[in-house]
Amino acid sequence: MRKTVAMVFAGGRAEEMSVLTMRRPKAAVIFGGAYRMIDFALTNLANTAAIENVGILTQYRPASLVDHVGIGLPWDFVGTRRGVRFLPPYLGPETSDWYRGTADALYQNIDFLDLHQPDDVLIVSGDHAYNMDYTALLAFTRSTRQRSLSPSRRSRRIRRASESRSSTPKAAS
Amino acid sequence: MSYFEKPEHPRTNLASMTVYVFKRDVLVEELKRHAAGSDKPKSFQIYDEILRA
Repeated sequence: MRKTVAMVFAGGRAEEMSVLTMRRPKAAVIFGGAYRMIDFALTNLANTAAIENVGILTQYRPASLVDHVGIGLPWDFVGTRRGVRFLPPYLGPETSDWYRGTADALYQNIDFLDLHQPDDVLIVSGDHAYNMDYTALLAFTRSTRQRSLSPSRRSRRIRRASESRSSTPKAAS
Repeated sequence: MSYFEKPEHPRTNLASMTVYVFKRDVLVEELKRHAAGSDKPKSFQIYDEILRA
């Protein structure tokens, strides 16, 4: 099984959500009285067998999100090979900045990816409500890559195209 | 296919759930390439800089 690390975007605040995100990011907005929006993403990831490590990219007022997720115990992301880690912006000797977007948040946490050395990186939003096991998506992505990279398949396709061109009767002029 | 970020009047009911899968080496290479080529842009987004590029 290819190793996959998940990165969850949970740093955003939505102006249109007004007071709901005054003190917390969208991912920490309360849902159904007892849940937070990030529960959907973390539950989906917990239900995906290939995911063992999750990085949560935070920025805007993360305190309530950190309190809620804790060490990831409710999603069983605890163990020698499993874990959840919060990845806030940081001050360092060379780089120090707020995240300037989704790609920048990933760029500033390349060390996290290097640490776990995954084959694939699954990127999801922490403020979307949906139920999904990502296993089929990961399998589809890998099979698509294999098909697109397989030289034998490509050469077969080229040969078939060439044969069909040569066998197609030309229109009479 | 086109993509609009939070349109005021959506032309369709299809929406992106922004779920992406990258090979790590490809992702890291692209992030470094775009970061090196830019002079601290205001915004550095996956869709705008990595996917649409």
